Amino acid sequence: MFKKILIANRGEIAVRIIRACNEMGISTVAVYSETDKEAMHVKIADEAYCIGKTSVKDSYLNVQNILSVAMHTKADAIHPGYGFLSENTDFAEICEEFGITFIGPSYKIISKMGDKSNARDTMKMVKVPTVPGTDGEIEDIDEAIAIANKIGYPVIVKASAGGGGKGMRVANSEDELISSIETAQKEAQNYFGNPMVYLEKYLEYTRHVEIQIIGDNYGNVVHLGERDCSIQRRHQKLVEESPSPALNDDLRNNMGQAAVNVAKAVNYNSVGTVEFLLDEENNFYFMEMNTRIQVEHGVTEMITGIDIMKEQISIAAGEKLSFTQEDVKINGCALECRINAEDPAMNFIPCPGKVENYLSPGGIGLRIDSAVYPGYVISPFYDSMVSKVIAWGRDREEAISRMKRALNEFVIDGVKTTIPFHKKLMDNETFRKGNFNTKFLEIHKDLFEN
Amino acid sequence: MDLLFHVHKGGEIVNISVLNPGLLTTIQDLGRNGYQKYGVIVSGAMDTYAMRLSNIIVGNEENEGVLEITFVGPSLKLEKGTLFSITGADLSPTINGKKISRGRPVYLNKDCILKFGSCITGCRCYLAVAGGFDVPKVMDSKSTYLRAEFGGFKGRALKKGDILSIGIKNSKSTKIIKKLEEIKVKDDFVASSWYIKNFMKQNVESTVIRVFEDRQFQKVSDESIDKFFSSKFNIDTRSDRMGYRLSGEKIELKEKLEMISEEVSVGTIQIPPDGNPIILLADRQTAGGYPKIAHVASIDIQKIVQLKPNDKITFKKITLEEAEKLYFEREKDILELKKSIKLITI
Amino acid sequence: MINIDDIEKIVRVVDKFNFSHFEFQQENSKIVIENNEISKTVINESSKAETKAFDSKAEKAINEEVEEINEENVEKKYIKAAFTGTFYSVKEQGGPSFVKLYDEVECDTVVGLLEVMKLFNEIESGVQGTIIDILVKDGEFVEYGQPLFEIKSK
Repeated sequence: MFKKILIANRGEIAVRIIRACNEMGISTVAVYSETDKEAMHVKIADEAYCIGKTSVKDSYLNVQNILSVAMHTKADAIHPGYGFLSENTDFAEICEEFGITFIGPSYKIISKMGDKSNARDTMKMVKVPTVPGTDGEIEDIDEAIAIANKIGYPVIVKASAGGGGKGMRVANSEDELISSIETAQKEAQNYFGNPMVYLEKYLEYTRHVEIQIIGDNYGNVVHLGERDCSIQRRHQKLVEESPSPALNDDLRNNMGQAAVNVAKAVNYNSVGTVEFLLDEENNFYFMEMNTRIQVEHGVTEMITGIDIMKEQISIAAGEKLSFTQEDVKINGCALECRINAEDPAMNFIPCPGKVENYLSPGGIGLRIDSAVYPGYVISPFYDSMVSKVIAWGRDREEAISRMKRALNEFVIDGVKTTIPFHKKLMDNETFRKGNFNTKFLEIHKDLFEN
Repeated sequence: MDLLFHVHKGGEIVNISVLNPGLLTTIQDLGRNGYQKYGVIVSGAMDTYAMRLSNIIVGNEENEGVLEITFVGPSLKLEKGTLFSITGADLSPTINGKKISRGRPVYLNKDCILKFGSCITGCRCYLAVAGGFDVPKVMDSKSTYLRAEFGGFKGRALKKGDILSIGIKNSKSTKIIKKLEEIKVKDDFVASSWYIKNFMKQNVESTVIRVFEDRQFQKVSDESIDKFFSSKFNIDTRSDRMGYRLSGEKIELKEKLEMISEEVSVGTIQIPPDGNPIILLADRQTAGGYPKIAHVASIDIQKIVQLKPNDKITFKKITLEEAEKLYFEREKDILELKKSIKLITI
Repeated sequence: MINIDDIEKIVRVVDKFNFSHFEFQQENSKIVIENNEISKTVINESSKAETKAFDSKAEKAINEEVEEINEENVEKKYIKAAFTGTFYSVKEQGGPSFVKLYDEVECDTVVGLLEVMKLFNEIESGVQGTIIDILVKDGEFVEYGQPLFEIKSK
């Protein structure tokens, strides 16, 4: 087992990692930017080192300084959290070269899955359904037109190296297709330095359902059920829940098995999430695989009782998965609301500032993951997350009513937050019925206004 | 309709124009290996350590051809888009009159003139260019075999008016350039703030060269062995790429020896009839008929080749095992440096 | 009690004026400095604040000097680490330091080296002035932003 882990991240995920390390008796090294001097993860780590100026590029992505600290403190491993360096193949590879374990899948797997169009090829190999589209990247325009006609409009052009909603364009006809390809290529070149794109059928009315999987270095892979993340705004998740109101046991097993097959096909050896699109006929299609721990992992932890973070660390240290698929039991229902320092009434504009008063809710069935404390200044330079509120109930109704209670108890003064939006959402009829898809927030704009 | 498909990231092709060739400027790589049996010498860079580092710094393969610059440096016109590094001796390099430091990558935003000035320390420096020198390989090598007039650039030292074309940069080099471009500088060139220390400090008095016994060590007289390890030797003016001749105490054998030519390598110390030791270097012959008293530890070759005529050396005896250990340590260091450079580009 | 800052100030003053003997008493503490060597004995004694100087001419100068050091409007700047790595005060192992205490520096004077993962960076002063304090030792690991030198700038 590792003796010391360096956390190459900040905010609530850094706190999450340190908590797991504390439970496992592993000592922790925090790194921080000048602005994050008073951050919680710095306060609770065993050692902390400043690694750069405010901007992410100068600090949390400053691999030289980060590795310098790792070597100096003799850390055995680096946990990259999510975002930042967590899916940076070069970083994962160089950690290995310096003899430091990168807590995540091997860099070859990250590379394989990170190339979206390549990932589709892997899916085909394991007979996991993918959204109908091109085989690999678009090499010439005639081929693209032919395939678009075959799969039927509307189609979506996506960047191979892409993500986060960038480098994507929808085309409703052949005319639109050509300009969509051009635009998507330009955007892809600008954002990701790679203009290669591929085509998929554009599925408008889908739910975003993802499967949590964990694999170890010995070929054991299990899935921990799904999370429904359809409540999204501009491809950013706002609410996640498990189980998905749209899944029955059969569908859950099929999707779970498909995700496990994908993971086994690439010898996946860490925690990961396979994202699917679920259409109105309950057909599921592979969308992409995230080769890191995710923000919403806590939802799965609440319904399975499994500590995914500790499991990820153990696996990285070479231990076998501590449970089998049979051991995994889904219990009750969990719901997560991401509370951000944003004003929902003003287009979710970020509202950084000093949190004067902070009192998080408590009581049965609640888990609050946060790095905020009274007096803490939320910086405009990093993400605007304040807190993740996770409510558990024996059924969905109870989870929702607990979430409502939690949101009512929560006191955050000094900055505007998205709590009013989440409160309204909990009262929304469609949401309560569980009958929604990714277009939900586009339709229900009333939830944003005051 | 003009669709972008995969953009080849080779970058522009650049040239180097020779305005003034300097004293002895040749293209060298790590030498021609496997051809001594045909009577073809190895050649290659004299200071392989500095030469390898110069390539590593610009992202080239270690064995890529570089310019070996001796004593008096050349005057070269380098084009916009050139990424280069200088390692080894300090021959006061300047770009458009501005002093530049060794051991770091330098990227040109404009066409520039690279000049050299006084010899501050050492005598041989190495200029590596990202993409390497686009000259044909002769027997697997770009090294210049001066006496036989082949290899390198037309088999000779550079002359005024020569134009050298540079090969296409690889992805490592383009990554290094990308990082340098992030340092927004309005100058003609941008250099990294980091550098690799390669040049070993030289003692003004004399340089200690570590050697181990060679094949005919036992044939040398006891008094000569004592002299060999206790006296100061002078680097003779008749020293060149073939070898360094030493003057000082004469080394004598126990008795006259008729030898059949044997193998020799870089660092072999021969005792010719006149008793003045010769340290064999890059352009040595493929076999030698003189007794071999000792062999310079590989790690100290870089010290010797940076010495100039009239510099002094003393010999220190170590074992072959110790020499190997030092060699492995330095190879480890080079690997570490390569990793560090890779780290920079992430 | 005399604290370490006070002791430093006193030692600087004494060093500058080359006294052969110097005593300083304040409440429970006393400092005695002999023969320009920085070998001091701090003795706890109860007595009133008292300053004795064997060179009366210098007494006034000392007061002025101490006052100057205490002045708030002296421009004190810091040279800070631009990387997280190992600080070196010397160019070669066993060689001389780049700079010493009280050296005058220009903006581009190299005051030390910062090594990060085997690559060296020269630390330039960035400020014109006098080095009044060296805050790190040769071979010490430093963080980004850590003050390395204190400069009294012009």
